[in-house]
Amino acid sequence: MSSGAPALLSARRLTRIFRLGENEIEAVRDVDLDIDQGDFVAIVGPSGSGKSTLLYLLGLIDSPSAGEVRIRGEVASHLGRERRARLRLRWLGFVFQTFNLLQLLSARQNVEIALRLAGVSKKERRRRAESLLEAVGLGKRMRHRPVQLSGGERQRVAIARALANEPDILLADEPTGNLDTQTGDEIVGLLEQLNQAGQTIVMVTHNMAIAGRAKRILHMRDGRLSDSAPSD
Amino acid sequence: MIDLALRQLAAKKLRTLLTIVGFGACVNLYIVVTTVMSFITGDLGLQVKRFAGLLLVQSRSEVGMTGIEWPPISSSMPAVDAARVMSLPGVRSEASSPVTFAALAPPPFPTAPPEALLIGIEPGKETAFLGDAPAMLGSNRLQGNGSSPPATDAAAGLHPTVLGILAARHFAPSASETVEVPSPVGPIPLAAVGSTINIRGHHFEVQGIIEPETNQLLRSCVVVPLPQANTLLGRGDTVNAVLITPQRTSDIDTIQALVERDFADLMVINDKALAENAGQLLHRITQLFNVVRGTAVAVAALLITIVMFVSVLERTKEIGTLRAIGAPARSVFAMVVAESLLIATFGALIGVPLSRNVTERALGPDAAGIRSPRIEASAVALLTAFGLLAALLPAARAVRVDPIVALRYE
Repeated sequence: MSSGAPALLSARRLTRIFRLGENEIEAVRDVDLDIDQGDFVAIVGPSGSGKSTLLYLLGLIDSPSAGEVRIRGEVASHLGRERRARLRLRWLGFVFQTFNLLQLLSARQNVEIALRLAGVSKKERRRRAESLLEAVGLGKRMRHRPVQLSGGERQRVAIARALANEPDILLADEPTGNLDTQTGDEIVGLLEQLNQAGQTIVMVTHNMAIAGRAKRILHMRDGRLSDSAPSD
Repeated sequence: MIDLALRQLAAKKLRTLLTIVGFGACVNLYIVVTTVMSFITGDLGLQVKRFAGLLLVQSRSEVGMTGIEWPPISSSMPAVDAARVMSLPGVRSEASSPVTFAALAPPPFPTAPPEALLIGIEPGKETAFLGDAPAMLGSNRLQGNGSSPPATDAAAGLHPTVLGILAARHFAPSASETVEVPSPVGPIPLAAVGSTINIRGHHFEVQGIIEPETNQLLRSCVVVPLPQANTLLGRGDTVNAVLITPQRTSDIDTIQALVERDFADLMVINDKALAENAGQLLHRITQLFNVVRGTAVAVAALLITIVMFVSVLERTKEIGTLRAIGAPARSVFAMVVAESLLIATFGALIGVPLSRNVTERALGPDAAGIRSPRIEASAVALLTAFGLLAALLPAARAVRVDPIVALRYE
């Protein structure tokens, strides 16, 4: 941060402890992280390393046990549930491994729902939803329901939904985890295009080939984050 | 959120349909019970009004735990005693008469008088029972007033009868001639004036039909001469009771005192006791009906609570996703409440017409006059309000869905 301006998204001494009966599990330990405008960061690590937990903490879905998350320098992680929900709606976009589309709604309506929650007018949300679906290559599949779409198409709808409110940061949790290699490649290609257009992206994956297409790779192991891969 | 709620309901067609039908049945039950309750309240009021100032002399043994039996069908007293009562000082004999009661057709609903109630009364003294109730068709008096033996058409072997409108409808299918009269539920067939009806093998000529704007007892009456009533009922020289119109108000106490002094087996019931009895009956009926109405409300509310809880549980992932992408609590809350509101609205759309149908079947041609938009509206409003209250718990549960748990929920 040579300019002195606050990072778009930052974490300081971020810790998340889960209590299971008598045991405490430290899923995320003392993580410090800065995400700047235009970044494309991949967080890699084995299953259970805490990378998804970190993503949910960064995305204000979960609350840290210690430490803090800041958006543009403002502490956001300690806000109440509803204020964090408002921040998520306005500043953050989410893409999930299992797509998490509403099965009863068409592709267009799934994108519109995010706009609707943000209070966008009916006419405007239809225009934006159609434009986004065109952009992710689903111009001809707008009326299809998730069950009528392939895995790759569903993830494209999920990306369009995540972009609906023009978020500052797109957070993707294993976006290719449920896709075959070719489709996964296409989805990462789409994320690359978005990043080239200025979209900041944080992606969690256990696939090094996918992670290799990000601008920056961070490694997660036993809840700790590092710039370099563990030696073992 | 209404369109999302609609889609959700449409996605679970069978469950939605059953819930709506269940809610509609509760609306129906509430309206029917309230309507019948309102009808009974009004009718008992009219009966009390009609019999104001009258005395009823009947056998002492027939006052049971349930209060005064009215009409006193179970009471029995010798005709000789009835004649002695009639001759007491203060009795206005032209408006007093020994009477015989018998149910010819069951009541249309519990607590109602029989649909056709035989009333044997001395001809010329019909006012003792009918009062000044006018005839809608024909006469409100048995022809051959005061004659003894009572008037009959000797050639045809016919005896006279005057019918209430419910009784006239009851006998219409077997009457020699019918007439259709308009009613709020459409034309209804009645045994025509001049037609012959058959009561337990005895033929009677219909001489009049009482105006329907009376109480239920008068609407269901089959007034016949006392001797013919006793003959067709196979009774000896007994009657059920004596209906007495005192000459003056001050004679009430005199008659009561004389009966109690001279007739050990008889008792006098005055209009105050009848009114008090009606009040007690009404109180018991109201309590019973309130239990039924309360049950209808509770079942409707419980139905919505259970269905919405199941719905929220099934949609944990969907709700969690909405919360994760930033849906405010109020949007999730509104979605669940909107679903409940839709169920209640569709339930009301089924329940209200159903209640009209059931009320018509229960109360017959009187139903349309008794049906009240106010009762229907208040029932829909009350059950919908309780339905929405019942949705608060599942809605609160939906709001508490943790997106983290939901996102891992498969």
